[in-house]
This record gives sequence, structure tokens and C-alpha cells, in this order.
Amino acid sequence: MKYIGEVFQDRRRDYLDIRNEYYHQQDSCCDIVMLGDSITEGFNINYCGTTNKVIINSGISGDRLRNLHARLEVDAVKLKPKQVVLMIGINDLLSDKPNTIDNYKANVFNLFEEYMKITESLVKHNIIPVCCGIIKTSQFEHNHMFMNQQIAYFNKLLEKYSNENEITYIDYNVVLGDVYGSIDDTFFSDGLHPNEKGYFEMFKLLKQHTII
Amino acid sequence: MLYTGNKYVDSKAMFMQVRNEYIKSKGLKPNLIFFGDSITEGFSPLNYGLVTDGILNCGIGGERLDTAMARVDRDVLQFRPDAVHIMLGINDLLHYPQIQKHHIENKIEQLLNLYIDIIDVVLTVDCIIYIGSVIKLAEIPYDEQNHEFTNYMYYNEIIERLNTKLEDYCKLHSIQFIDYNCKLTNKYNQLNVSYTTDGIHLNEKGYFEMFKAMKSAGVL
Repeated sequence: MKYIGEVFQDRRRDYLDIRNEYYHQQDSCCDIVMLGDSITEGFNINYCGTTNKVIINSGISGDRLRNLHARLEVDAVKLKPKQVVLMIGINDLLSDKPNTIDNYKANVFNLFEEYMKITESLVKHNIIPVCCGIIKTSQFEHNHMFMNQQIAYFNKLLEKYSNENEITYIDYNVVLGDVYGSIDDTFFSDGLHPNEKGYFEMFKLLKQHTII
Repeated sequence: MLYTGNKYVDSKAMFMQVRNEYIKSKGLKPNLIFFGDSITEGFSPLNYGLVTDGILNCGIGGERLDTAMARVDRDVLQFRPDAVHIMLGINDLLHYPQIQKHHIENKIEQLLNLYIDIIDVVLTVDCIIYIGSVIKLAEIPYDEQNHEFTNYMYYNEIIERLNTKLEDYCKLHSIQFIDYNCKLTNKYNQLNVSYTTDGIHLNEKGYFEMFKAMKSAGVL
């Protein structure tokens, strides 16, 4: 798989290539692939509890929608899972800074179209996608109110799309959020990445939906 | 619950108690429990995908042999697992940076006895025990502010002696001992720099080697 020129992403890429090769050598199969960015990468399910499924983590820190789309084949489709738990988008929103109140809806919609391409290609390969909404950010993140507004809009689009296409939609903000429409900082290490308590809540939500 | 006085360890232990209650209330049964310190905590079988189900990670960063005993019952025994993988000891050495030369033998003996106590307690639930060797250090200072930790050669010698004693004990009592150092060290008998993030903890490639060693030892 090609490198993209970002140190952390490429380092993890390096590792995932080794892992995927080993996986193919062993000729084994898995139930679920977790696909996404740093929040997925840090998700250690065995630390939150036990599951009776074989799960693979294919998260890469810093990944954006286009990076994920490019590696979809290698890191998910070729591993032949039954389901793919997909959570991606926050890095696009954080990096594409010049969004303004007037143009954010169009920008978010562009991202969402890219997202739809990913789920469509999963469906084409007979893999069931599970769409997870983007987790909101807290006050530690620059301009978090506006960021959360964009995230809410993205999640709304995703929820509508999921309902129409009978895809499971999971919104972690239900368990990680606070009453003000932001997130509860006790579940986060830095306002963006969940800590073990946050991951535990996410784990319980996945269990509730009988995904894992 | 017993507090160790270490803020990080205690907060993790408190989290683990909540988690354990949830696991029990849902009737989930872990078959294999990983019990240990930060190296165990960071080990995620999810990254390999070739792992059987029912694994529970009970590693806490900073855990020592002398404090681990207090939570064996809560984190391991109550689940009655089929197998337990234990890997401890490095923090006991690093937290006492100034062991004098003539005390080294005593220290190793003391750590071995603590280890044996834990093994004996775990054996009461009739499960398979795997003992992971203490992993050696690499030539990267653990903490640039604290130069005491840079003395990796000194620690590696003690680690080797502790591992040898541990292995002998395991052989005598037909417990499986897994030597990770043979996979992870370089020709100078230090932890290979490409397998570590800070000289002590492993990166994904290091964990992958560990995973393969576990796989061939039959743990996973």
C-alpha cells in the first residue's frame, strides 16, 4: 500500500501491511473490521470487556475520508469481514478550517458524499456497514461550538441515509454527550479522544446494538 | 478496595472495578485473562484479528508485583477463567533505582517470592497459567529528566537473572514460561529499538512479535 507522506499515518500503515500479510498467510476469517481514525485505533475492546466475535482494528490516526477510501480494499474488503464498523470524518472537519457559517453545509455535504461512496462499495462487496456518527468535541478544541454544529449536521445526514438504506446507525454522542449538546469531559482525555471510561461507554453501546 | 497511592494506578483500578461489575452483570465469561502492567495494558489482540474470543485485558500501567496481589481476586479469580497470562516485575525494578550490588540477589529473591505468591493464588481456581518473561530495556532513556532510568545495561542484567529464576521455577512446577526476549532483543541483548516507543514499552511491531510468540506457545 502506498505511503501518504504523514509520519504517524505511514508508520501505522507500515504495521498494518505486515499484519494484513500475516492474516492472509494464516487464512483465517473475522467477523468485524473496525475502520476509522485515531478514535478507532485506540479502541481496545478487550480492555472494556469480552466479546465472542473476532474483531480486527484497522484504524489509522489522522486518517481523513479520502485516505480511508483509498485503503478500503486492503484494510477491510480483503479481510473478508461480515461487518465493518465505520467511524470517520473528524479529521476532515478539523483540517478543512476555512468553513464559515454560510458555506459549512455545502462542505459537510461534500464530505458526506465521499462517505456514501465508502458505504456503497462495502455493500457492493456484500459487507454490512455499521455507520457511527462523529463524536463531538469539547471546549478544549478550538471553536468547538461551530465544530459541533458541523458534526451535528453530518450526523443528521448520516442518520437519515442509514434509515433509508436500512443500515445500523450508532450515535456515540448519546452516551458521551452532556446536557449542553457538547461532550462530557470525564469521558475524554483531551476533548477529542475518549479515555478508558469513554471507550467503555462506547463498548456498552455496541453491545446494546448487538454489534459485538 | 485497596488504594496503592499512585493516582494513575488507582483510577485505572477503579475503572476496572466498574467494568468487572458490568461483565458479571451481563453474564460474559472471559476464557483468557491478561494480567499485568502497562505492557499488558497496551496489548490489543484486536490489532491482529487472528485471536479467539473471550479475552479480557486486566493490565494496569505502573502495576507492581507487591500491589498486584491485592487485585488478583477481583480482576482474575472471580471470573474463573480457563487461562491466565501473567506478566509483571519491571516496575518493581524501575521504581527502586538504587539497588546496591550486594542487595540485588535479595531483591531478585524477594520478587520471585512475590511472583510465586501470585501464581499460587491463581492456581487455586484450576486454570492454565502462562508466565511472560520480563522484557529487557533498550538504549532509549525512559525519561530524559530522570537519568536514573538510562542505566539500561544494569537493569537488563537483573532482568535476565530474574527471568532465569522464574523460568527454573516454572519448569519445576510445569507452568508454561514464555520468553519474549529471544524475539524482541538484538544481538547486544537489549530490546530492539525498532520494537519500542520509549525503551520500555512496545510499539505495534514489538507487540506483533509478542503476539507471534504467544501464538506459537499456544496462549492464543
